Amino acid sequence: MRVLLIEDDPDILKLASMALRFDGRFEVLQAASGKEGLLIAQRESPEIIVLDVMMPEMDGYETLQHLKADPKTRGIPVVFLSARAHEQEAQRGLDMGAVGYLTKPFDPMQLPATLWELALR
Amino acid sequence: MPVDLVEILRNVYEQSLDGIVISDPQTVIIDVNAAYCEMTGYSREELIGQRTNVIRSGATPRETFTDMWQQLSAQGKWVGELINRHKDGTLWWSYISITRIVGADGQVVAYVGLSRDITERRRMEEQLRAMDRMKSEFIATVSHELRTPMTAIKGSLGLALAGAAGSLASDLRELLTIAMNNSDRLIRLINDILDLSRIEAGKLNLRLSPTDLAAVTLRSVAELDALAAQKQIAVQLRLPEHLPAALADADRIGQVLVNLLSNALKFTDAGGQVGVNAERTGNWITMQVSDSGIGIPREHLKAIFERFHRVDNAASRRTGGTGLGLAICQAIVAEHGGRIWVESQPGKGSIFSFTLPVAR
Repeated sequence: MRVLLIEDDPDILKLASMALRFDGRFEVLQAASGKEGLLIAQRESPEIIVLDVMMPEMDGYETLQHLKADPKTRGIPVVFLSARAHEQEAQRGLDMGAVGYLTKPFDPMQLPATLWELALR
Repeated sequence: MPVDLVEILRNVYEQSLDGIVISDPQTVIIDVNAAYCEMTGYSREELIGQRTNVIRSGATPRETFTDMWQQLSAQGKWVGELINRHKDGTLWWSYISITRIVGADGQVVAYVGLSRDITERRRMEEQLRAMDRMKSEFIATVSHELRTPMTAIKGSLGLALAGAAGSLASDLRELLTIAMNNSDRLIRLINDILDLSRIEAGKLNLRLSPTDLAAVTLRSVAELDALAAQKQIAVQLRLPEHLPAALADADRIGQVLVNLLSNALKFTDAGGQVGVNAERTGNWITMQVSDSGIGIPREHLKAIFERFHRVDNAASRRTGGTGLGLAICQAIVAEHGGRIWVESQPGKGSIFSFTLPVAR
């Protein structure tokens, strides 16, 4: 399964990529910003996107809005990743069309199983 | 000596710290006292003959004036707040009471306004609101800034221990496990501190609904399966079949139960007893978490719900808790309108009890 990780923290990006590759079921695409993520999503059509909320310039919510506005990327399930653990933030993400909301610190070892389940739903 | 009331009243009028303005029925100013001149910036000569709206700023909502005239007409008095313009152009807030004076023939002869400058109080209220917004922002930012590196630390250790970077020598595995356990501990501490900050900032935001406490208890017990198995303790549940629903935030009460059960398991030796009871008394449900553990010395019973209070003994040091769990439990229960307390004797175990309202 092709997963696109959009995350501005290089360490989290690296760890999440390693965990997904180690699992063996995923091919991992990476983007370090919302803008880069949109370009890669349009070009590569991943099967699921993991999207960090707090990013400079274009945050996760704005990125999701663009993904939903583009017919090429509208149907790709998006999972938010955030340190903001408020229930309202999670609900906001789900109301905007995300299929899941993971809070940091998350266990990268749990990420493959969680994504697989969300992608298949 | 006979009291000259008129003289006294004249003094009150002239020396009052509150501004007093007297107008005719058409709101043309007849007289003002010194304090009114000071708060408006106009002299007595400038004000007499002007309409009272000479100090109007345009910032007071229209509805305030509609309400004012309706009440003056119906009841002869009105109290409210107005935003005014000083002669120098600056805005100021007043808390004003206006009374309609009626003559013997029943006709209005004057309106008297008693005005207090509340600009400073308003400014402080706005500052408090701004500080409140800053607190929320601070909690959210700290939350993010602490949680991101913790994710990286926990993630790296997790991957290394899972073998993602190759197999590990046993000593290395042991070192990484120590680091992993302590990073988990740090995460718990960060979460507890942020929780407590949120509670103290008044931002607990409970989502209350009729809650099945049996279901919440089962979920909480399940969360601690691994610890219970490790301690060889089977948690006994003694919940009545027809326990009514409580008006509660299920997640938060689950948090309280996990906290209390976790403590009960940690401070009870292997093979001991830990149980959960519930019973209804009138409009309240009392839940109890009991254990046959080491108990709590009498002198710690009240302070145990305070932040960072630890009963300083070997067991306490070994369990590695944050010292905030019970403070958080108390805050959550209090927010529900309930009470939490403990009964305990050293060597004889403890019973932690808390109450929740029955859902109507």
